[in-house]
Amino acid sequence: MTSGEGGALIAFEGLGYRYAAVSLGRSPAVAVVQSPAGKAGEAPRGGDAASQATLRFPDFTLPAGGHLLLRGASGSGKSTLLALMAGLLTPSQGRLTLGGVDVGALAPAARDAWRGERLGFVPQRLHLSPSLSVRDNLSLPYVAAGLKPDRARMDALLDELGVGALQDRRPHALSQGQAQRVALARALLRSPRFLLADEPTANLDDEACAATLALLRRAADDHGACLVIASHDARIDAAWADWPALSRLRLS
Amino acid sequence: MSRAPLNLPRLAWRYLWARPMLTALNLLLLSLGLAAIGFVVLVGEQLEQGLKRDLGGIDLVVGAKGSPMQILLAGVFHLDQSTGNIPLATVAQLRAQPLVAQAVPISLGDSFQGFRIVGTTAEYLALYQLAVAQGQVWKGPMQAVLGAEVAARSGLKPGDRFHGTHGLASGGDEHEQAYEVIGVLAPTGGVVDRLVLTDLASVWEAHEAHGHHAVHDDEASLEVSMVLVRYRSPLAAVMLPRWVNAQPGLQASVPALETARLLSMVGVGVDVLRGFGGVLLLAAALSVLVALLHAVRERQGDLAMLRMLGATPARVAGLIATEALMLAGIATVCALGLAHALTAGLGAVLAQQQSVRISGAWLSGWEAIVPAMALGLALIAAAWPAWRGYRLDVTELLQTPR
Repeated sequence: MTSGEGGALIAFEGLGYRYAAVSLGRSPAVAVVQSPAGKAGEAPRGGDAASQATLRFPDFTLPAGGHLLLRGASGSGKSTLLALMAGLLTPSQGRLTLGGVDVGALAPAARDAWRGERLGFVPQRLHLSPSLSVRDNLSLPYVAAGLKPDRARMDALLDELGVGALQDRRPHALSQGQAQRVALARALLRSPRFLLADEPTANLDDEACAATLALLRRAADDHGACLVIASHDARIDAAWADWPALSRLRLS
Repeated sequence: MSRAPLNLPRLAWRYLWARPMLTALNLLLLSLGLAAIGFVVLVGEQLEQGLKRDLGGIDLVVGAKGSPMQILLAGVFHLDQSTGNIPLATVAQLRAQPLVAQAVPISLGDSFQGFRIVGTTAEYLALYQLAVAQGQVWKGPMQAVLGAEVAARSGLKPGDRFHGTHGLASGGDEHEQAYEVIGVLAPTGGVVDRLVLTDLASVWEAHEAHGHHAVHDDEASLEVSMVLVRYRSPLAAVMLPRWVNAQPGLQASVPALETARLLSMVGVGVDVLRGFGGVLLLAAALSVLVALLHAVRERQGDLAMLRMLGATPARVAGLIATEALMLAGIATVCALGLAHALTAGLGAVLAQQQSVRISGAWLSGWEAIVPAMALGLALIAAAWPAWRGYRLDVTELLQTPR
């Protein structure tokens, strides 16, 4: 089922991303991060050169059937790596392939289409639209791609995740757990090959954290998706110590 | 409400009404501005058309010395008093001119229930191409042909009798001698609908009985109010007014010139109204712009999520533009309805005053300017917000807030 790169599901080769620091006013920490190898990634401070910094990522290959846990403190480049994987940013050097597709080499429109079809994404702050009902929120992946919403698929997924009765509610009328399930349903709707989650357990108590991790793991298994989680939460390591398919990549 | 599957237009619609107060306010501003423009179009065009129709084929109006504008208003549009009387012999003098194709005398001064009685000859019917719907044309004095509206309002029909009133306002002295209704004209939509036509001699007889004229048979003492003239050749436009003005006691009024003056006077009011509409529209456009910018900022997360879900930047920009277009579409419908209602209202007021006829049912090709302006404004107001949506930084969605 996997093609190219010798069956690798995800591969980074000499991957790097060059920031213009000005465009990153909100997260200056990222601009001065060091590469894992400890060389060259450091941005000189002051003067013109300070306006740019290159973030380098270690070479890495995830075999078919694997899942990925991206670890690292905040500002270590987890979010940037997720953005590169989603095709929202283009690598300034090296290559990044997902399922055999060189994401950075795709044309912008093709990249958007690929992202909609192949990638499911659960953002940390869920980003359910407050103006829309659960049903309409769930229709957004179809609207984004210009497709007709598949009502049967939406119903089935919500039922499967135990929130089928909440379709007419607005997001503010949902509990955190319910909202997360709806966001997960939205990510799984178009049967993505990759399921990306950004800090899914942040701000959750231990019980909710365990439930969320179980939910994500089961969703990835049931839907045959490769789970990619970016988190600095140490509880995940402990919870998934027994999951052989999970690879860990630490960014520093 | 959410039975139909969501698509881009429906999503835009939901977003539009997610802030109902703001949307309603913008709708009101847009509609009022567009309605003012539409109203100006509707009224202006009907005024112009009405003037043209009432002018018929008249090239020149000859009256007693006085204001040419007053002569035109009194003799053609029947909105003012005549400037005085001129000798009946003037008609023969004019007819003797080789440049004159037709010269039709009219006598004004009496009215019936506020409708003006016009003494004239049968040529008047030919000049205005009038058709008799019931009865026939007058054969002698004291026989009257009613305009369609006069007949409808008064309920008179051929065979009935009525008394004329001295003066143009209702409530003046009634003349003793009664008119006999002999015919009713087909409706024209013009001023003739509100006139009572009768033989020139009727007016003399009515006034003789009233004691205005001492000597009845003296041809030389007979007078008319005005003469409507049609030219035989364009050359007359140069020669005839000059000749008329050279005659003692006569004044030429050239409808083409006077109407242009009239319209330029009315035009000031029209310009004010148009300018007012323009200011409203500008305010509306700014308000829509601010609302859309605010919406883009407020829904940054939603829009970024759409991009994350696979929407192209163009699709996100299109969503914002669709909102503006929907607003413009609704405003267009409201504005056209409002413009017609206002025109109908003005028409009703003017009809009460027996003045210019204006209808709310009038349709003009120029009304297309309303949707065109709405579309233009929507696109202008949406351009910047849509560009912001197009350039949205989706990676911020991924920057975990601390």
